Amino acid sequence: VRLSLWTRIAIVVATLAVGAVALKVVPGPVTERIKWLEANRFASAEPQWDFPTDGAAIRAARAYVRPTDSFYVWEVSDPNAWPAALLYLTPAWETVDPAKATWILSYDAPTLLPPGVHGSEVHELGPRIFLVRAVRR
Amino acid sequence: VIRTAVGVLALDAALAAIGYGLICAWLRGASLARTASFAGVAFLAGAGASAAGLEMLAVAGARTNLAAFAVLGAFLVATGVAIRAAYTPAPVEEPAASPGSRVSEAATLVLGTALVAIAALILLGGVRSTPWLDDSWSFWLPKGLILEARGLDPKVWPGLNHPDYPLGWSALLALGSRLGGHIDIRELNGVLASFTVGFLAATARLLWGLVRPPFVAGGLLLLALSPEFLRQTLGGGADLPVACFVVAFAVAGARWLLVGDSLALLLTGVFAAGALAVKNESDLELPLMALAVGALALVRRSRRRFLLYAAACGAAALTALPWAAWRRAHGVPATLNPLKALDPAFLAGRADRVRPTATTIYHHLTNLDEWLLVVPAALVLCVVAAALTRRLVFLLPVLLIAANVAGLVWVYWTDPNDLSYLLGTSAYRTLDTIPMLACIVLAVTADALLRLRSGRPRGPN
Repeated sequence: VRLSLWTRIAIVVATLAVGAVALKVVPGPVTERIKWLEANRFASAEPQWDFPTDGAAIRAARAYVRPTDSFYVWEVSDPNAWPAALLYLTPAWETVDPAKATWILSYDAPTLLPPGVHGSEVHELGPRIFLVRAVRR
Repeated sequence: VIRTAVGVLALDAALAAIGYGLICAWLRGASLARTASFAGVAFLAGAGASAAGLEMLAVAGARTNLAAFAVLGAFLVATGVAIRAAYTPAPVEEPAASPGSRVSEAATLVLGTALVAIAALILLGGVRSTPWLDDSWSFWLPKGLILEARGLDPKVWPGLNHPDYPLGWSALLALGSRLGGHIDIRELNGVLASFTVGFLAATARLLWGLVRPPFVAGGLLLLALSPEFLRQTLGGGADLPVACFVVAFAVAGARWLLVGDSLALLLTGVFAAGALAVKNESDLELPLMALAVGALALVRRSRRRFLLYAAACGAAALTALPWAAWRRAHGVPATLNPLKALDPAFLAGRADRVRPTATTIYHHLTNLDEWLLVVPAALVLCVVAAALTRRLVFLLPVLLIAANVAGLVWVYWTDPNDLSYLLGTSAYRTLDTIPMLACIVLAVTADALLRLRSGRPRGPN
């Protein structure tokens, strides 16, 4: 014995209607979380940084860094600068040795370049954020 | 966000197509509706096989780009077609699939409608929101982008965050990014949402015939309504996907051992391989789950089924060996050293870590605001069922949950990192498998108990 098509449609519609009303009027962890799920729309392709990070500036460096280049991140204050550079500049190679890098991403650093490194072209990506082509001597 | 959604949908479609190819032998002559009912199974199977395959390709020196994915997909589909040509599966009886009474059908409709509505919200919420967990952007996606662009580079890899983590999840995320044509971190939540909804659909299909429909829908709805489950669908981490694979492995394994469905045997191996390719938690959870599920063979007393189940588990374990060998060869140790972690002197010296860990895990599992008390409810129901029916099989989930909790305590006990930091940043999610399993246990046990009490002893008991 099966329910008729109209009965089934009525059950589905009634369930959705009751659920929508319950969401509005019933307090509690479940309804709060569903409302959070509904409302949680961050219109940004950037990560929710856990430290104030200028991701857009680092993303802008993609315009200059070629896939075969390597880069070094020169920063002292933002722990997100490295992973952000990895996220946006890959497939370029990151290196922990500035002497081997094609580019230095200078991120809010005390000096434009790390000690012993010389640069040629400088691109300003944001406030105190620069991309500098390293020159090997 | 449209491009990102297109990328996620393209990845979903590719994984489902690979999965359907893999399981096509079992869908021979099936109606369109029946074939469609396997969409979640196909997606999860395609994802599991692809994650494991991509990891092995990376270890073999290939870049895990779209070309490699296409070759891997073609190989997996060809494998499925070869199985179809060589093997005709025996039909599987699904005694509980019929809704039964009108009340039962109405209950299934109500619970099922609510479940589908929540699943739709998860999908919509996923693709338009930014992950809240920093793991998502600090290593999961960047590692995938490196694998895609340059492959597994031994000069670079050891310097990355968590270099010992498996490669499959990162590789899949990077493919989603590539298919979307740009880097948009919301893609991670889109893929994660697809996984969670795929898991719900796959589990419903695998429980079909073992458990009556209202109980299937009710158990899964309980999971889908759990506030912590919903919160983590927007997290961007790999804890939910690995829990999805581990629990789906248990359900598939139980289905094979109890009703002899050979598709479930294939899925047992594929889901285990997928779990091993996603996150390290599976290294501990899978053996525990495999032992507990394997004990179900005693119920059916089928040596053949047990041996084939063991073979599927063994085959899955083999897929993780290349990555383990690569790590060993390139000096990338696991965070947890199993030998050291069993050293009594080492454990005794850190015994003060046990109590805070146990307390934290207990708090998360018994907090109404997180998992709706599903774990204590499942434990109580299992004990009551065992007492009422005098069947020890009902205590199996109790042992399994206890073993999982003990395993987690042991992991935090032996981990070299600061305990407060570890517990605060990860304990709420590394235990995902336990409440997810508890929801399935509630459904299965409630159905079996009511069946036995009403004198209809068919089903999984």
